[in-house]
Amino acid sequence: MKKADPYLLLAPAYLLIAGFLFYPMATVFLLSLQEYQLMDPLNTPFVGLDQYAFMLGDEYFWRSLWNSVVWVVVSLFFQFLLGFCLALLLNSARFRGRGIFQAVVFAPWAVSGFLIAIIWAWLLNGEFGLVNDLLIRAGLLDQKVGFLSREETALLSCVLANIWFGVTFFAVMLFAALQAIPPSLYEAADMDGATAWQSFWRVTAPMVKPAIVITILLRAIWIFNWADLIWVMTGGGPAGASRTLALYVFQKAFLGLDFGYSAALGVALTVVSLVFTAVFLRVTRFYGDEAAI
Amino acid sequence: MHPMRRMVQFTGLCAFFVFAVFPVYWMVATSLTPAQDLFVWPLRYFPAAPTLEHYAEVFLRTDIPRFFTNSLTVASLASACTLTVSVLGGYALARYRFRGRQATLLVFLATQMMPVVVLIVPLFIIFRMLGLLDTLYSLMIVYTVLNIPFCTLMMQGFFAGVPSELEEAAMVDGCNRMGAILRVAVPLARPGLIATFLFAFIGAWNELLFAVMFLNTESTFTLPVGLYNFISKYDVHWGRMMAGATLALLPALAVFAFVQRYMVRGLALGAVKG
Repeated sequence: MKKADPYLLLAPAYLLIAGFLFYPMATVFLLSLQEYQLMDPLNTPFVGLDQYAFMLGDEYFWRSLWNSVVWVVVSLFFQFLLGFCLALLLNSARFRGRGIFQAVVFAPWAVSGFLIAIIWAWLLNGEFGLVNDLLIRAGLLDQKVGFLSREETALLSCVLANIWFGVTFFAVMLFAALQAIPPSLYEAADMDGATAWQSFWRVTAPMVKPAIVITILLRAIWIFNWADLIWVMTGGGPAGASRTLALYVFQKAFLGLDFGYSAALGVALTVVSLVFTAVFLRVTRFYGDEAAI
Repeated sequence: MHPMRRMVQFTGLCAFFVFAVFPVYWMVATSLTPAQDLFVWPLRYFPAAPTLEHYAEVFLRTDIPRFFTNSLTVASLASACTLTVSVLGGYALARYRFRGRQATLLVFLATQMMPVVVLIVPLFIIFRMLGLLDTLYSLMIVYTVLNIPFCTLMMQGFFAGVPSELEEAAMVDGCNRMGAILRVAVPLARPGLIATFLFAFIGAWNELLFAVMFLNTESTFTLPVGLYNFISKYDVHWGRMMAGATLALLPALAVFAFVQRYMVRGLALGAVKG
C-alpha cells in the first residue's frame, strides 16, 4: 500500500470539483465587483461595491428575499406536519401491501421540479384547472380563479406544489427514525401505565427529534436555493409577486443578461446558505466519519 | 386495535394515497383525453374516450423524440463518468486512513448545500471560453461534477460494507491494487454501483436551469428544455404537454422503483435534490 494511493484515487474527484465547483464559486465574488453585461463581455470595468449598493436599494431584491422567507417557512411547515403524520401512520399501521403503498406515496420524489411545475400549473389553470373545478363544486368558490396570475395566490400556488413534492422527503426520513426506536421503550412505558399521548411525547418525540432537526435544516437550505419550480410555474410573476431570491439570481442572468448584478445577488444567496450550512454541520456534529444519520 | 383508531388510520392513509397519486393520475388522464374534451366545463374526471392522439402528435409533429434522445445521451454519459470518478474516490475514502480524509468528507458534504443556481453565470463564462456553449458536452461536464460529491460519499458507504479481506487475498495472489478494486471490490459492491449510477442519472435527467442557459439551438435541447419551451409559449397545448410530461416521467419512475430502497441513505446525505 503506497502512501500516495488514496490521493491518486481521489485526484479526478478533487480536480473536477476544484475546477467546476470551487473555481466558479470563487469567480462569482470577483464578478460581483464588476459591471458585466453579457452583450458587452469585453467591457467589464471594476466597480467595487456598486452592485451591492444597488442591491440594497433595489426593492425587487427585498421583495424576493421576503418571498424566499415565505416560500421556505410555509412550505417547510406543511411538509413537516404532513410528512410526520404520514410517517406515524405508516409506522403504526400493519397491513398487507404496505411496501407497495409506501413506494406509491413516496413516488412524488421521482418527479422533477419542472414536471411538478407543469403538472401543478395545469391543475391550477385558471380556465380548465381541476382545482377550480373542485372548489366550485364544493361551493367554496363562485367563479374561476387564475391562481397563477394573481398576486395574492401566485407564490402560495408554488408553495402548494412544493408541499406535494416535499412531504415524501419528511415521511421517508422520519419513518426511518421511527422504525429505529426500540420497541422495548414502548413496552416499558406501557408497563408504567403511560397513555398513548404520554408515550408519544415522552418516547417518540425525543427519539425522533434529531432526525426532525436535521431534516428541517437540510430541507430549508435546499428549498431556499431551489429555483426551477417557480421559474416554470409562474416565471416569478405577476410583477415579481412569486419571485424568490434564488429565482432572481437566475432571471438576472438569463433574462436580464446582467452577470455582474446576478453575481452580487448570488453572493447574498450564498451567504444565507453558508449560515444555514454552518448551523447544519454544527447540529449534526459531523465529527466522526459516519455521515449525519 | 380500537376500531375508531383503525378508522382514523385507514382514512389518513387513503387521503395520503389520493394526495400523492392524483396529480400524476391527472397528468396521465389529460394526456389520454381528446383535445376537444379537455375544455369542457365542468370537468370530467375520467377520459370518456381515451385516445393516443397526443402521443402520436408528440412523436410525429414535435422534436420531443430528439430531446428525449439528447437527454438520454447526456444523462447516461454524465452518470457513467460520475460513477467512474466516485468508485475510485469512494474506494479511497472507505479503505484508507489518510491525512485530509476527514476534511474531504466534510467538504463533499458541504458542497451539497452550495446554491447551484449561483454557478450558472461563472460556468457559462467558462464554457464560452472553452467553446462548449450550446453543446451537450457542457451539460455532461456540469452534471458529472454536480453529482460527484454525493455519489462518492454514497460509494464510500457501499465499499465500507464490503469486507476487505477478499481484496487482500487477491493481492497476496498477485493482483495489484487496481486489479483488486476492479476484480473484487467492484463486483461485490454492484448493487451500490447500480444505485449510485441511477441517482446520478435521475439528477441529470431532470435538470433544467443549466440546460436552458447553455443551449440555444433546438437540435441540442434536452427534454426539460423542450418541454419548458412548450409551456412558455403563449398558447399551451395541454394535451400534448401532458403526453410529453408523461414520457419524461417514465424513465424517472422506472429508476425510482430500483433506487427506492437506497433513498433513506441518499436523502440523509442531503444530496437528493429531486
